[in-house]
Amino acid sequence: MKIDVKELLIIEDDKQRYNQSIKLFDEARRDVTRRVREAIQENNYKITRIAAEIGVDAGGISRRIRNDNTTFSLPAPALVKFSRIYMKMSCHELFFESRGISVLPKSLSVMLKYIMSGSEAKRDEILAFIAQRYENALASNELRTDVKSHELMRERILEQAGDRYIQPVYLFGSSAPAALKNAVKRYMDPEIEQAGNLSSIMYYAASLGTSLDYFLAVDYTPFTDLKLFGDDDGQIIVDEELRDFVSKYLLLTPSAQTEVFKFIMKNHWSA
Amino acid sequence: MGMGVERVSVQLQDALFEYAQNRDAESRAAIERFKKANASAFRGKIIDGRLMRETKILTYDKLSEIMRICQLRLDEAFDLVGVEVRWPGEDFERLASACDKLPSELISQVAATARELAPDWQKREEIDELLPTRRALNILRRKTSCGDRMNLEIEELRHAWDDGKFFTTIATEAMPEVAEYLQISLHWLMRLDRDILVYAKKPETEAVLDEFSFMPPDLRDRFIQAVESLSEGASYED
Repeated sequence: MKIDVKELLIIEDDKQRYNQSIKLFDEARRDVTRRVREAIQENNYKITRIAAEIGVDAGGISRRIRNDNTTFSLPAPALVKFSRIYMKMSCHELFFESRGISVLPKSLSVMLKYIMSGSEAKRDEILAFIAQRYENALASNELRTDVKSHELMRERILEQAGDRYIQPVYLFGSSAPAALKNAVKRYMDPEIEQAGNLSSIMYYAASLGTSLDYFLAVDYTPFTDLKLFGDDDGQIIVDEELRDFVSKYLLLTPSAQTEVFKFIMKNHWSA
Repeated sequence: MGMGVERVSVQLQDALFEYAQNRDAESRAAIERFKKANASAFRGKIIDGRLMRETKILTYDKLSEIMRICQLRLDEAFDLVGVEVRWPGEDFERLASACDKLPSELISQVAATARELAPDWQKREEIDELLPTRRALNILRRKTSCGDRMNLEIEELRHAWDDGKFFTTIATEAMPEVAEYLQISLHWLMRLDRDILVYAKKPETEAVLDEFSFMPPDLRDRFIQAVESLSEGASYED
C-alpha cells in the first residue's frame, strides 16, 4: 500500500497529523506482513536461513508473517538486512512503497558540494583518501557495522536537530503529542535503550523528509536516492563515485570522518 | 513579534563619548560630526528651565559607528563600564586563535564555509533584522527546553523572556553574560559591523565566530580541527 506522505504533511494540527499518520503506517505494516509472506513463499526462501542471515530466531519471523493482522516489524539491523537481501529494496520502499530519498546532513552536503565543484584532480585525491581510510578501517575491523539501534537513532535525531538549530524535543513541532516528545527524550537519554516503535520512526522519516533507512541503517545509501540538505529542487545524486563516497564515509568512525572532513576542507580552502 | 526599540545603555554611551572627547582632537571632531548627523538622538533634558544634561537615545545600529570613532574593541568598551567580556566557550578561543594565524583572504574562505555549515535557520532574513534582545530570545527558545527556561539564572534574560510581549529589553551591560550563557558570539548578538572586533584580532575571524555560534556541537570540534590543520605549521603573510 503506497503511502502519500504529502497528503499527511498538509494536516496542520501536530497531534492530528501524528495520530492519522500512525494509523496509516500501522495499516501499511500489516500490508507488508502479507507481502513479505508472499515473497518468501514465491522465492522458496527458508525461514531458518533468513533468520540465520539477519540474526533473529526463526520462530520470531514465522510469528510475524503468519497473521495478516500483525504489523510487520523486526529489530532495526535485521530489518535492514532483510529488506536489502531478500526484498531487494530499501526499508523505506518496503513500508512506503517508494524508493525513498535520504537527505544528507549539512556537513556531508557541504563536503559533497566541494568535491563536485573542485577539479578532477582534487576529486580523485579526495576519493583516494577516503578509499584508503576505508581500507584501513576494514583491515583493522573498525567500520561502524554494529551500532546499536537506539544509539543510531540518538545520533540521527541530534543530527537533524543540529541542522535545524532546534532542540530535539521540538523537531516535530512544539505542539507535537506528548508520546512523540517523550519518545525523543528517551532517545536522548544514553541510559535508556529504547528500541522504538517502527510506525513512530516512519513518522520521523516522513516529517523530516528523509528515508526510513536514514534512521535504521548506519549506511543508508543502498537502494535509496541521495540528495543534498536544503537543496529541495536539486538533483538526485546519481554519480556512483559520490554515492560510494557517502557510503564509505558513513561507515567510518567519527575520528576517521573528522580526518576526511579536514582533508576536504583544507583542500577546498587551499585551492 | 514586534520589533520595538532597543537602545544602547546610557552608561556605555556616556563612557564611549567621554572616551572619544578625551582621546584626541580628531576623535572630538568626529564625535561632534556624529552628533550633528544624529541630532534627533541627543535631547537636552530641561529641568527648572535649565538645560541639565544631554539624553542620548542611540540605537544599536549606531554603535559600530561610535566604536569606530573611539577606535576601541567592544571588550575594551565594556571595560570602560566595568563589564568583562569572556569567551562564549573554549572552542571559540581555539577557533579564533587558529583563524587569526591565517591571511585575511583565507579566513574569508573559512567564514564562507562556516556560513554554509551553519543551520539554515540563522540565514532567515527576519532573524538578521532582529534587535539584540529579540536575537537573544530567539536563541534561547531554540537552544533550551521549557524546563531549562524555568531555571534561568541571568536575571535580565529571564525578565526579557517573561515579559516578551511587552518588549522588555536586556540591558547592554548584561549582553556579554547573555552571549556567554547562550554560547554565541557577542559580535553577532549586538549586531556589530564586520570591522568591529570583540574576540579576534582580525575582522574576518569575527565573521567565522558569528557563524560558528550556530554550529551543532559535533561539527564544532570537527570544524576547529580543520581550521587548525590549515594554520598549523603554515607560514602566511597577510
